[in-house]
Amino acid sequence: MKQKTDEEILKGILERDNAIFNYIYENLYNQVKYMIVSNSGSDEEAQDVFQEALIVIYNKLVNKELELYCTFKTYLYSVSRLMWLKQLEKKKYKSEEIYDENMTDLRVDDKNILDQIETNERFRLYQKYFKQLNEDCRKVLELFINKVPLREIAEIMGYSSEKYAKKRKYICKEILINNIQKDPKYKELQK
Amino acid sequence: MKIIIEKIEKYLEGELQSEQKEFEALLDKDEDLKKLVALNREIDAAIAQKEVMALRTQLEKIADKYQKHKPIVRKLSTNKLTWIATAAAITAFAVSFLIFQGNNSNQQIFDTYYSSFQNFETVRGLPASSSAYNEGIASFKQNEYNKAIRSFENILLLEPDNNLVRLYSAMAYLETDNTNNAIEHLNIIIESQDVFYLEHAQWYLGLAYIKSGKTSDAKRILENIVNNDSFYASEAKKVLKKL
Repeated sequence: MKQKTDEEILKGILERDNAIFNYIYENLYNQVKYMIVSNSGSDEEAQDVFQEALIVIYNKLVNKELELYCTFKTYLYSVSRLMWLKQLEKKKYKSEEIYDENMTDLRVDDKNILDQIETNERFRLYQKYFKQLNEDCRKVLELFINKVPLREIAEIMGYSSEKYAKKRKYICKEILINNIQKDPKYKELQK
Repeated sequence: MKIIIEKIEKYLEGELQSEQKEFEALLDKDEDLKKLVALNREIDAAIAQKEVMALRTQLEKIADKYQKHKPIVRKLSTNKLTWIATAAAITAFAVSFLIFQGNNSNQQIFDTYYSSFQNFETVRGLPASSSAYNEGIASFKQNEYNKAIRSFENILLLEPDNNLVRLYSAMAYLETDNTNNAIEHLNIIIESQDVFYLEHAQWYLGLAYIKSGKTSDAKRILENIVNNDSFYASEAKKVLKKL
């Protein structure tokens, strides 16, 4: 496979290009997996961390907040490592106990990226429950978020009135909030 | 709870009118209410991340493929690998020979860009027939597409508006080379203008047309995707260049 430049990779991530993500998994996943599996993690946890690290990077790119001062490989590794450290902390491990031969090569703005990792964790939980809502609820909330005029929302959804469209939104939001708050992870993420 | 959520929503939309000041005073004192308002704001921001949700599904699929294939290769002996490599080389040669012989490049484009849609997390949102749905999805995941089609078609008899199932059904038809059936299902989804599946249906319809050699229909759909800047716009642009 042809070697991709960091610029090509970042552009591909921003465009959600399948070929680039395949390239990333093929070439960069094993190193991250090794770091996690040799530090009390499972294959599934490694996969999860790697995926969410890519989502954090995607969000940084979308918000034009990503400036690379190292190679993309190092950056992705560093973000994944920070994510895993956070998870280990929750499991009551101490960061000094983490075995990592690549540790000296980290160049990530820790505070900023940690904030983003935490936001991403919360958003992921909200999105999980949003996707589990019934179709009608998902659709109506999405239309409101996209600021579609109330009259159009009522029309698209086949509701009898604009007033009912609003009512439906409140009901759906309430279901969503209830489900989120019931998840033990929600409380954990509040700490 | 319902009244609180309604008030918070109205507050965030600036629609509380005379009660606005009263609510703000309450907000100053009540930490729980403050948290609930913040949660509401964050949820709105999270829901707006449609692309992130789609990207997560996309990455899950790539990771699945990657995890699935790796161990199999590791378990094979060198001898077997040599055989497989030889067989693969012969197949690749035969396929490329066929492709360049005829006007089969459409199939090549289809194979490059096609990947079946997976969004298993919506299961809970489905009504009574969800056990049939689960069966269909399980068959689909095990590449037993004909079995999956039977489950999906049974659901569609009872729930013709279930576009998620219709989309999966179309995917299964594409996997079994029943392209005309796939096209029919995808067109029904598009006609329903279902915002959740419309963009997926358009993209797969474009690919289905390519697969069946209906290049001008494919171009029309793909141009539409690009012009509407839909989720698959960048992929559609790439395909259009190859057509």
